[in-house]
Amino acid sequence: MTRGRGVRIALTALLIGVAVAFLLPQVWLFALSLKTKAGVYEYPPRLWSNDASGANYAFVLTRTQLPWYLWNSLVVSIASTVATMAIGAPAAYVLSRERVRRRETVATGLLLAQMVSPIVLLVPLYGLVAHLHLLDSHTGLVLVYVAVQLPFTIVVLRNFFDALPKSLFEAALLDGATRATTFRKIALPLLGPGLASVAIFNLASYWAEFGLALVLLDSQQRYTIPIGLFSFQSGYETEWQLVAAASFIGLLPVLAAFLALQRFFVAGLTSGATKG
Amino acid sequence: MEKGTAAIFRKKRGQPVVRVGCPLFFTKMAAVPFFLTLIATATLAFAQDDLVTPVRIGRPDAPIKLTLWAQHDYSHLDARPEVSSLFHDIFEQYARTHPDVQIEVSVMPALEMHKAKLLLAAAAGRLPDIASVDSFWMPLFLERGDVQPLDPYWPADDRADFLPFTISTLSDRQGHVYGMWHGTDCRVLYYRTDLVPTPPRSWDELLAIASRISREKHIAGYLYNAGRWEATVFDHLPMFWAQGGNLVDDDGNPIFGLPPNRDRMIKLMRFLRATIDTGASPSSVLANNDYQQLSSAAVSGDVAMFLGGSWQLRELEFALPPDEFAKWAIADIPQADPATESTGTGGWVWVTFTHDPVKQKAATELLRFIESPENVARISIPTRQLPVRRSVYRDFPVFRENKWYAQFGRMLVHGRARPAVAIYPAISEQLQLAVGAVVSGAKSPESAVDDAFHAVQAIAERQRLRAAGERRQFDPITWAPPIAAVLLCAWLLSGTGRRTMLWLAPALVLVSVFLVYPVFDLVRLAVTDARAYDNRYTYGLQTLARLVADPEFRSMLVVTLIFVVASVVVQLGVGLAVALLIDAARRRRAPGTALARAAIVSAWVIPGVVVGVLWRILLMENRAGIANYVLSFARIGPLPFLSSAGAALASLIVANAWRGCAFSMILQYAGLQRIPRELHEAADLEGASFWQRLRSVVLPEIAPVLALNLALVTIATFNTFDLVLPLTGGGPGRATEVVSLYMYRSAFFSLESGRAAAVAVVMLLVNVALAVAALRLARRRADA
Repeated sequence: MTRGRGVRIALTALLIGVAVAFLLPQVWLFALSLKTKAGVYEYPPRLWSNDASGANYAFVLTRTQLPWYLWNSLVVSIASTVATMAIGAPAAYVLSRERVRRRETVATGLLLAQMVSPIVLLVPLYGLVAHLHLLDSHTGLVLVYVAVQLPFTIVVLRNFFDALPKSLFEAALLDGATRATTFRKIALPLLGPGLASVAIFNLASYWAEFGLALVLLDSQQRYTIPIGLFSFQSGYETEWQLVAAASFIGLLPVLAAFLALQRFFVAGLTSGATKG
Repeated sequence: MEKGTAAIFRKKRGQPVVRVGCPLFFTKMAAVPFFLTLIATATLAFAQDDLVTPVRIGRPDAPIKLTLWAQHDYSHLDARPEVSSLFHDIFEQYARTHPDVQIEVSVMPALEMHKAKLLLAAAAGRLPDIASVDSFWMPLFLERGDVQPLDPYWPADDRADFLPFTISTLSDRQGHVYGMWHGTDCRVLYYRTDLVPTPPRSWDELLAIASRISREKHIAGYLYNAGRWEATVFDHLPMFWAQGGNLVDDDGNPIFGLPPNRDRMIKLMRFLRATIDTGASPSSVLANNDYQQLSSAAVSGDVAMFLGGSWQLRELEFALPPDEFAKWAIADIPQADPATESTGTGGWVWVTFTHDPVKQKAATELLRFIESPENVARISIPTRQLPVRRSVYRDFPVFRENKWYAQFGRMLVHGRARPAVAIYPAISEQLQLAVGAVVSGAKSPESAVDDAFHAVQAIAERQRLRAAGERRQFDPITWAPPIAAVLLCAWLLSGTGRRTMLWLAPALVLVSVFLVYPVFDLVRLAVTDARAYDNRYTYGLQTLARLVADPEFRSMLVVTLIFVVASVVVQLGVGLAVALLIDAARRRRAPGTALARAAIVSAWVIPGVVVGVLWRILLMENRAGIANYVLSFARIGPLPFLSSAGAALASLIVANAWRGCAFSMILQYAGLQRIPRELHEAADLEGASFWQRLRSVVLPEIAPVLALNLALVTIATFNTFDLVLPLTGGGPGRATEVVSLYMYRSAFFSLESGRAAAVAVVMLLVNVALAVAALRLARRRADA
């Protein structure tokens, strides 16, 4: 028994060690964000300085374009997520339940598309969006975003729909329910947590997306958080305490959302991968 | 299961369900900052109806709307309060006196990106009304005819107040003036008088003094820019010019690799190599891609001499205590022959692109307002630029009497600007690579100069061919990709009922327009030599052939391979180790599994850009860097985490694995959970050691998961660039330029869409191959 306890304590110690290794960078970022410029270069470096303050946060939220970046990210990622789910769910439903002749080909195509990075398409996408006169607009970005996440969304939702018992739908059919009614009243409510995890996963992906936004947006008042922070880093390179504060604001919403909705995050993370 | 532990990962009705026993209060607490952020954002973004906000100058209802792309450090968004409040003040005055105009402000991130964005905007016909551009970019915009003359609204007597070179450089033969210079600068040698009583006049003196100081004082004797950016070349051009060297001939053809210029360039490169060989400079100069790094070294007392810009004097004055600042002085740039003098002058230029006469007038008035003598005098001091208005030197005592300005004024006499030719950016890029190769010792001065010259000649030749080519009005081949996309989708959906089709239609349209069509168009572009801002191109395999023959491309593939393989090994290894640990802890009911899992996954949810910035902060090589500080306890380092090629790649791998570990951990943990409990119990009974258990119980069971994981992680790593750009930017040199970054740079910095598309096609093939492999593995696993 004592050996068992010893092992348990050792395991817990290791787990805490792992947790520290993965949390320390974020903690250091936060510590830096509270320092003054002199504090940043203080030697030996200290985690907490006595003159720690929220001045950097006040600066980045009032004197820089950071609030616009946050707002833009919010608008773009929510609009993209809503559109992705609204378009993806019906498509996934009919791919699961209705007769589509090349269903397996379509499904395989979507599965492959889901794994290929949109980064490889930057050049033609830029040309396309320019042709549509949607460069430097949130509309253009949202359209591309939705298209990029649709394969993943459809693949995962289709698997969820596949797993619903057939008898439910047969019963609905006998009751004379239309396809739309069955979809809305029976299929969707049953998929609540699944829909949520896909939506949250999409939301997080949109929030973090960098390459497409970097290429498709020009004006800073339309920048999203990732490219905003990148430009912030170049603009305020010498003011690391400001960069730290801005970065911390950039990661706070996802971190908070992650802690609150952990299980959906993890489910979303693996659902695209583990399905075959 | 005990409270507070996360656990199972089993399929329930076909969907993976994870139950997390997260204490409720924790969940609620976590939501608080999230909503606070949102509220703060919303209120801040919309409660500001000031005349000057971070994105707008003037009243939001003003009828004339001008778009302005400014320099970050020449606007009210600068981090230095004295600069930002000054511009705030100037803009506010402007807004008061010009109530009918509002200005939409953008400031451009990195300089290189600023130029590329402008060229791309030019190609798309969406240039801003006003922009601030580097004086040496002017040929690019003048050549295209985008820049509009300012003289119609800019009186001649005011123009006469500007230094002659600012007007003559920007004028055409008809006497139109295309830009308003706003501040210039020159390059000088900064030195500490307490360590260097008399400044070196020649390279030999410089090397002797600097190496002695490095040896005796253990600080850098001499620092300079050798990173991959424009200043690395421009700072050293005076050393080439003073020898009588010329980059281009009178017709703008590159000649720096032909005798006698070749010998002068080689001599310069030998000198740069000697700074390392003699110990005068540390090899960390290779990471200097910002003048600020030089000032920082000076401020922290780590350097005796450095080659910097005139504006850095103010930075030193601001950052150093007066007695420390008093030790610094400036001198002419040391030359091969001490009897010669030269310095490079640069500067930024306001240009207007709008064709609307009302806007042109308003734009010119805005520029004249900002650049009035009073404002120039005020701006020049905090922005550390040298005024280009003669009246400022005459009428404002600071400029008349200050000894520094007097010295700079004398140096400007020998000032020389970069050649205003379209080939200059290519020359600069190749010479940057040459300097990097010579200073790092990768190439001899001779071969570095010759390689750079051949590369420039090839680019010049292509420019000539392109200029001779015809503009494409109509190209039937551009119709092939959309037709192919439509046909493919029609085939896939043929035989599907009309109502079903309706449900699929929106998804189908979006996917075909924004994913399928671009794939076909990518293939088309890959067989062109298209450039982003120019519609002259030809079809053929020459781009691909050139790419394959390019040694830089091959070395970039090697970098990518190392990055991918090492990242994947580290990430899978650490992921597996942690998954085993959590699994073991769970089976023994040891607390702490939820914490460890949450910590690891939290690293994965952070946006990639933030991960890049975060690690850049951790790995800083000055005294603020925590990683080197921690290592100093183990008597290691300081390590050049980001400035040496090998270490930078290793840093990138660690940062990437740190971020991606969660993904591997979760997949493998799910795999571990599928191992029947009986197997573990049998192993327990036999008293199997950890390794025996790993080999005979765990690995065979999770092999399929590991294989799938391998394929998926390889895809993700192969495409990574959100983390690379902020962390290393591909540097030093090209040491961390992975394939995705190379593609991005080709397309959006060098603007070679054809080359970028060719690279992207290769990437696409790798992606698809890996995706097919992953799919097979996943299917096999599902069947098993």
